[in-house]
Amino acid sequence: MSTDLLLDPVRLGRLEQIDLPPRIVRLRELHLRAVPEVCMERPRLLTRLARERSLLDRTRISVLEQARLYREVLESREPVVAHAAAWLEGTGEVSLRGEPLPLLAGSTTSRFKGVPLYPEFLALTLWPELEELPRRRSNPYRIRPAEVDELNHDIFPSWIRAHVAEVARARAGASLEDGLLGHVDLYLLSKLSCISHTIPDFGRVLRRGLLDLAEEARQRCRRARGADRRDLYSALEEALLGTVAWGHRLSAEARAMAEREPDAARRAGLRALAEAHQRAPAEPARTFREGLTAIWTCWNAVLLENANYGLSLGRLDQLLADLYRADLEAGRIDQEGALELVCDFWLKVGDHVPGVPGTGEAFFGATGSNQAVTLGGVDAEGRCAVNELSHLLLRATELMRLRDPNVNARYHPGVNPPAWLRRICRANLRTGATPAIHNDRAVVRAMTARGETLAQARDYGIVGCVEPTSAGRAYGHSAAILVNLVSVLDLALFRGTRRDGGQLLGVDTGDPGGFAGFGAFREALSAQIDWLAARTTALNDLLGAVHQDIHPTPILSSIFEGPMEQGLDLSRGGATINGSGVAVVGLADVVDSLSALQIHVYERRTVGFDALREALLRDFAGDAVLRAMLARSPRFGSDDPVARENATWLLGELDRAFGSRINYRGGRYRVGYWTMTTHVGWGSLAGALPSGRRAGAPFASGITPVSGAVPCLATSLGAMAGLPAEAITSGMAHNVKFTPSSRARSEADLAATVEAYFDDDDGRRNGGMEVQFTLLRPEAVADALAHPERHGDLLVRVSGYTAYLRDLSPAMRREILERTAFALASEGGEGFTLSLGEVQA
Amino acid sequence: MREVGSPLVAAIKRHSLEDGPGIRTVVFLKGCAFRCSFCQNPETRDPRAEIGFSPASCIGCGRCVQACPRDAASTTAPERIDRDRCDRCARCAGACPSGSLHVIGRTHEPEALVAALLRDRPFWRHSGGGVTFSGGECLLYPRYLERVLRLLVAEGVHVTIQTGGGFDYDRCAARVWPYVRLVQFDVKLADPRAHRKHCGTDNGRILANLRRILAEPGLEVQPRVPLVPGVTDAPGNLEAIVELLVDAGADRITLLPYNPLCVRAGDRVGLPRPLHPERFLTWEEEGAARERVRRALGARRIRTAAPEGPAKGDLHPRLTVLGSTDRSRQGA
Repeated sequence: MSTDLLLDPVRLGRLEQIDLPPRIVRLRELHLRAVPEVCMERPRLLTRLARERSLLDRTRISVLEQARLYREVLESREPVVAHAAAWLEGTGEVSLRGEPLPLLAGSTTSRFKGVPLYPEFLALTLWPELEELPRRRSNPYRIRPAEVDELNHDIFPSWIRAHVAEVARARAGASLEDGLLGHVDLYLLSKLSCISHTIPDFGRVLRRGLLDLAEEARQRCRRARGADRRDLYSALEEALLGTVAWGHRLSAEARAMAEREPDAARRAGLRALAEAHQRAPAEPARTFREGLTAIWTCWNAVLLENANYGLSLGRLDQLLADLYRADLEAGRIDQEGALELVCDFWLKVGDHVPGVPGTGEAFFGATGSNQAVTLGGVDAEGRCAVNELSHLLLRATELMRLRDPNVNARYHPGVNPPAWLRRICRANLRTGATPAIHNDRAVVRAMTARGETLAQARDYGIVGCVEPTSAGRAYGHSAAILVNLVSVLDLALFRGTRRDGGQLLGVDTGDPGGFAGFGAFREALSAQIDWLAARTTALNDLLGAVHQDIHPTPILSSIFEGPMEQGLDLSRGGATINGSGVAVVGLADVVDSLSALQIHVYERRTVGFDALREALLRDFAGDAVLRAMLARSPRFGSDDPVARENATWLLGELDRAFGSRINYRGGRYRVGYWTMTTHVGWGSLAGALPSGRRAGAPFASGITPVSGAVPCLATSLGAMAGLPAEAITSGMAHNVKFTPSSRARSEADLAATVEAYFDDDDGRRNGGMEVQFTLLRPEAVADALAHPERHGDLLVRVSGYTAYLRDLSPAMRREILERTAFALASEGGEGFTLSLGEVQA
Repeated sequence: MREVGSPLVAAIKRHSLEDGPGIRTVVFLKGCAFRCSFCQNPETRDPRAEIGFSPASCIGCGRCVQACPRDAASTTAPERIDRDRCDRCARCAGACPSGSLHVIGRTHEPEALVAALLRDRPFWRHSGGGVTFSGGECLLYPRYLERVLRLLVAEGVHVTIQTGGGFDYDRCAARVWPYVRLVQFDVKLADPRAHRKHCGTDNGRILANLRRILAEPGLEVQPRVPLVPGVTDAPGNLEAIVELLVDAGADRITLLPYNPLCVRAGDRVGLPRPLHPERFLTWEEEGAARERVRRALGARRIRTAAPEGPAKGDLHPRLTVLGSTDRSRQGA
């Protein structure tokens, strides 16, 4: 093991010296400047083909029909090797002729940076604002007038009754119908937009190649009993052959371009490109380049089928390590060449942005697709899995500073070398925002508590924002339901109705003013949580059934552990591990409100419930004294036993209410704590809270304590390290903001701080599960806000994902600026010491 | 000053990166005989509890005015409390809904203090850190320290003491030194008259204690000179301190960068602001002091390495950079 080339410290040190090649610098600049364009290719092809096959208006589409449809799209799409033009901000159409060639052909859309449309999901929500898209203030998309016409008159009308939301509405029945779309202040259901949020099994793609997998599907089809199974196996074969065809068409196009290319160097480059795409993903990958090419080609196919919300790439440093090592040993590649390939891949992965309507900007503003990549940690046997490729992918990440992919680092205390954690911290100091750091010990404990074997849990990758998912085998849809926990607290405070009264929404749990004690209030909240869990999981299951019927997923199923073995599509529970995830928003605000109610209403009785309720409805107008008093209640993230107990109770309640339910695929629900920008969006809608929070203010992000509530970092990290990991089974986003200094010690201080946070204190606590840093100098942010044009690539940490500051709404920017900032060192420093030890002879 | 019962703890600062090796938990004890004009923690001078006021969180409700039996509180006075009238009964702090008025100084039984400190054990373990006792002058309380330190050291905790030098040497040597790994000894002024002018007392005892402690076997002592423009960098002072340290056998000297927080540090407890600069000095501005120390050492035939400048390579460098050391971290 000591002779492993990928563990050579000298080679790791050399990686630090590598910089971006000029070709990548140029491509990166174009990537950052390009304004996304709506891509018509997918909706156009899909609508025409679905219409020809009479699939629109059908209440059930078989997996085989779906696979044939996608295969035809893959055989009809235009294979783009190098984009001829990109829309660049302010300059109109700019030719890329003569621009550097990419090392990977193909793209998610027909555009250099495209907005793919999925009319079977939520693309129709863009319908009312199509003409406004190029002009809207935040995150505009380009679209041509003729394209608007085509969508208005031809494409969108075809899908009015054929998209998931409408099919679900027609099936819902009276009890669920208004819950499907009408309660966006309480929860969001993401099966309306997709199920992606998972990691395909790229291991089998690289090991076996798609043709071998297609052959297995053919064999199994021959032996299978029952028409459904035979259909499934035929569908897998169709999907695999469709993906192979896409790769071969890219290869043919590259070869054709090579024939026409006068420049010898470019001609050679195109031939190499053609060669890689000819092999991968049809055959097993033999080289690092073929490995990346195979993953990229499959990625194109998967995104044809699944809208990209947190579809994730998994543990690339593990998947590709053997290929990289073999290349190095054979002298086929060096570190510079590998890094350049990875940078190309990073740019490719970010070649599309999700189509978000104006109304969605408040909740998911400035997000990319959240395609997570996971580095480091341990292997299935628990051995250290950090290798040179982990370092190389990290180096590419810090040099590129892109929002996509969303890079996450795993660290296993005691198994991974401390140098790996220091390296991760250095990347954070350099980028100011990435990667997020996950504690293997706590994550594996949480996952095994939900039933994964130790080996499955250890092989986790991050999905979307922060959700740990056993890579290639767990179909978890970790973002299935987003819950506004503050609105659930409101139901308990206001007897099951909204604040403005109106009809009963949740359960009438009675007037909290009449409760005998705080225990009764907790019971009321518990009942509202149960109501919400029952309702949202019923709706999720309804939507899941719609997906099973009109949107089976043969492409994703064809490269996943389970569907081939079990003869079942992923949508029907074919994965080895199934589940659905609930993201809870507003935890800290609700825990703080509970503690305030406990102390001031039910224990010390410093304020009556009626008076408190009136103050909340007035947004504390004229109640400054009450508000100040409430705000000094025990705070989530402190050592106070009241706060700790309320947090532990609430985490347990949410885990019990959701975790006891089985979804439509036979998997259990899991609960996580990450918020994207919903904590700002939902916060803007919410009234004043017993915690003293004013109406409209953002909630705390992720699982982070409320800003300003716990000004001491050690206190905050200590409290967060004591949370029960077993109740947090779908990840957490813990934001910590630092004002960095340039002292040489920063990196070591940061690493020691993370190490201490992850420490289980000899079994006295779980140890922190996750932390993500925002390292911003206030002056840099001020300059970026004043001169956005100079700082197009300034990355900031939102919650779970990173975004470019320029893309964020003013409210979201404010939230990030107002987060508690801890000092990494005071401006003074610890002094300058001269040794008196060296006396001259 | 006689040690009676338990001293008051003014504050416990967790996750400090600048008070000894590694990540430290710092305990500030109240009480100090000196009155340095550049004091960073003037709320720790008085050994008694006092009332602190933080204007940022005051909502102007006037409950303090109603609560005060001596008419010492006023919402129109910017400092809120008339300190001449105040007898520190703390009723105002009890009535204050926002915590803007609060009591500074609480007693902690040694066992409870140690239990609270040990929460930070993971931070010490991974950084080579520990607990630092500061003040005020924490060495005014050797009996209390002995009780606390015995418990900490039994848990294997690295203990640092920060002192201004005004303590009873023999009592500390007997009760405190056995538990301490590092003493950070601040030496401000060599000249007794200058010391009386800027720090309020004679410095004879400080210098005597410094000489004795530097001769103490097995005790790591770090003499530190806080840079204060016009005070500690006055002509001859740095040179005299170097002389003194070299003669006494010190193995190092640390220049602490000037910290302008001293100017407003006393606002909270109603102390007047000293006339010191209100900004940090740049690395270059502090260069003259560094050079004077190097020259003084050179005159004693002591060669020192050229100081390293501010660290490079971060994408978010500070605007002003002060002293830094590359002192390697100690193991736990």
